[in-house]
Amino acid sequence: MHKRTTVALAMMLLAAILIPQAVLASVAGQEGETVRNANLPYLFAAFAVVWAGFFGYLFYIHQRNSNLRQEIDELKEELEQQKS
Amino acid sequence: MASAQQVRQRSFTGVAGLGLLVIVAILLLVDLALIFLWAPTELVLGEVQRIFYLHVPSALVGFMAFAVVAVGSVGYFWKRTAKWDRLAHSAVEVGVMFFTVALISGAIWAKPVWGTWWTWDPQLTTTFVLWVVYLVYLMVRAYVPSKDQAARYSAVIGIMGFPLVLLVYRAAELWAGIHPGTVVGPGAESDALDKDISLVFTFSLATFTLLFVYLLWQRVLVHKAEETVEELRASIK
Repeated sequence: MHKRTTVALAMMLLAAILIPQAVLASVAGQEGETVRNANLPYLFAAFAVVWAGFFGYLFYIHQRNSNLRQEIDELKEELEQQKS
Repeated sequence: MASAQQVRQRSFTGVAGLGLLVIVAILLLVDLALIFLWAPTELVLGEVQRIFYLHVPSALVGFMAFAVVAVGSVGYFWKRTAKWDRLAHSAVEVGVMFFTVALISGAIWAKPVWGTWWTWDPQLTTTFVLWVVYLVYLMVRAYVPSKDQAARYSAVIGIMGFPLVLLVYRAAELWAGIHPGTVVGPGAESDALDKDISLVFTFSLATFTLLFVYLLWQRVLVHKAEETVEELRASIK
């Protein structure tokens, strides 16, 4: 489950970066659009930073939750052993 | 060993969480497609204006998060239960993440449009101050050794910080600066946005709000798990 979530997050991040890149590449190739599109790197940078931020935080939360669940199970087991 | 009820509850939370994550993921991809394939190119700013669909929803969701913090902080003082404190603390962390995203995307947008990454415009300055206030909240949580004291001090910041949110929202109208005025919400003019731009913006805002709900939920679960670990460690000692 955790591995699947990680793969899904990675796939989404990839799609989030590739979709704008592909669209921007097609727009940049059109004639007469050069002046207004001179700022495309900024647009790409903003999208990359925002999506990396969201997915980074999402990944951090999932990782932390998973580690804590594991720790809880181990501590409960230790407590059981102590009692018995 | 986890009890059968705990296992059932955990698997329900897992399935519900995964379901919501899938919905958010689909909405984010649709949002991307709308931003790049449906939304019209703005006549003056060109393609770079598409940053608007990330920048403004991130800031608004940040405001939403800080409103949740204020509610959680008032709830904590009223009821004195960990539930409200957990909600407020989790909302601050998620809200600061959204607000950081808004600040960074704003700086990247400012460079080609204003010719500078940052300027001490009233809107930007008040936004920065607001961000620092909630960073202080997180620092209080991290550095005050007593849990009760940390919860009380941070609840004060959570309540006192909220009026600043309203000030930031109206800053562009209150003091003349270079940042554009309010284009959405109660303070905006009804025709401030083009119909298609407005549609894509609304979709973005709804998607980001759902992402916020998901992240807040997951952060509250992490908070609960951290408390359980502390309790278990204390009982083992």
